[in-house]
Amino acid sequence: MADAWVIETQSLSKRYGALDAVRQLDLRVSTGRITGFLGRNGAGKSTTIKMLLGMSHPTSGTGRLLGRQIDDARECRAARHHVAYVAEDKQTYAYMTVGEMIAFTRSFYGDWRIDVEARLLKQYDLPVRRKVKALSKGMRTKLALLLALARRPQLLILDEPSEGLDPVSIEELLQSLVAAAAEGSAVFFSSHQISEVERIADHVCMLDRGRLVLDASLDAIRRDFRRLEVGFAHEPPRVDWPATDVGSVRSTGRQVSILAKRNVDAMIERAYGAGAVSVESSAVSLREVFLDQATEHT
Amino acid sequence: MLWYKAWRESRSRFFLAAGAVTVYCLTVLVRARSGFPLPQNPRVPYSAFIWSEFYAPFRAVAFSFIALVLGLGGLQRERGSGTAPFTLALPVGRGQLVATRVFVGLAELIGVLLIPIVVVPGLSPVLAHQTYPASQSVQYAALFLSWGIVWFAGGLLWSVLFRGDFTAATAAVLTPFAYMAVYGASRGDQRFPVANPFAMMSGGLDRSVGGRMLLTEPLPWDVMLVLAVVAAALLAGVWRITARQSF
Repeated sequence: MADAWVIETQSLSKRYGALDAVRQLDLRVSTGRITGFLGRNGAGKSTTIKMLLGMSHPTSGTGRLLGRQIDDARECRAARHHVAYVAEDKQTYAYMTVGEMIAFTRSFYGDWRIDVEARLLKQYDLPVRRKVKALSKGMRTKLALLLALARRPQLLILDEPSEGLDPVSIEELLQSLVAAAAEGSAVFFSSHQISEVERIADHVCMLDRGRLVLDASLDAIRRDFRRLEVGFAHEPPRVDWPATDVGSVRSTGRQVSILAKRNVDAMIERAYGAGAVSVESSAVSLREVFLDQATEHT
Repeated sequence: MLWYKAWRESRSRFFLAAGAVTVYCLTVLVRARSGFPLPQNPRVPYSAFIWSEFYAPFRAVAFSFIALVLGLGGLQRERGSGTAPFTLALPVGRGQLVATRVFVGLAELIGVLLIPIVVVPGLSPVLAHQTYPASQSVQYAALFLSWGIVWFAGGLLWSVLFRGDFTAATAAVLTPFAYMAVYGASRGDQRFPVANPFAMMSGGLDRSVGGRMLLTEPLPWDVMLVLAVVAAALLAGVWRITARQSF
């Protein structure tokens, strides 16, 4: 079922000198979903997106965007016909007016929707005759969003889309993304704002130092992920927790805090078997999972 | 619409160059009205006067700078302004981006060359009360263009190699000097006179040019073809480098 994935990478890696920006990334993003792409600054999110769009060449590994090879310039170009992208910087041509920028972008895409363009122009209150260089940062972000959202692409890729927007605009943006997904576009967006991801995403992929450390649906996270606070009477013994079931393990005195990804009951049993005197299980939020994964290796 | 983008990115340089050339042309012709024949040398014909003002080696150097500056631009420049991701996300190939930049830039270069072709023969009778054959303007423009495309391709190559605007512009300005330094050091004038750009652009390969500084021999099409191949090779290099760059 290769067609079920709008994005698919195998061992995708990017190295800048001595720095491994992306390491052996096996990423799959399915069609018809909103996928949040989380990670700290420098985790490799933007580099991954740039490789997917053919802007940056992978050091090794391969990938497919809408079923087309990303390392084949011709195929990647064909895929970009059906991809709308909002870059992290949201920069468009400073020397053009808003109207010229819209006309320029429109000329490349057959899926442009004039009605949506008009609606977003009004909604975002963008001055058509003003030059891009005279726009505020928020206005530039809105223009970049308009250029992506005025289409009906198969895939929407947005790199930190809400950066620079006020709360009302963020809310409108999130609604637009939900609407785009409802109309059949797959949405893949990176964000630092976990609350945004938690609100609209169906699926979460998390990068840490170029590695994929989490790839799960939000439902699975809510259902399966648990925080286990394990208390011992004495110094905690060394327990080999199954790596596939555990996100992280931290010890503080006689207390061990475990982020369990699955098989919680079996892990509780194992804790008692190791001499635990108490085990408390609680639900975890995406924020906790993110912080846990992001700080585990620091 | 890529052509529109390329035009908008380079038009200020073009207008600056075209404006400077136009003003210079008109100034020379107005000056000729009262200052020609030259008081210090009344026997100099008008054609030689025009040659010294427009097509002499020093003027060829100035035109070379214009060609180099018109060649600046491209994706590396966009990287600096932050627009490269937007451009590269468009459903167009990098080759197409380079080709559009080249076609627009060459059109601008030809546009600059057209100004003396139109102004000098067209306005000499009006402003200077003299005549200058249009065919001569066209032939000199062809000589200027033959090296102009090489300089233009060189400017584009520097833009692709260097990320900073200032670095590429500096490299572009230094290029003719560096070329002539190497040419002089290797005694090019004796061993390979056709490779002297400014002599060729000024008609130096035409041995019959004489004191009137009018071209009478056919244009050196073989040399011009070689220069076109050199420019094409440089542009192919630009394309190859651009295709391999990561942004």
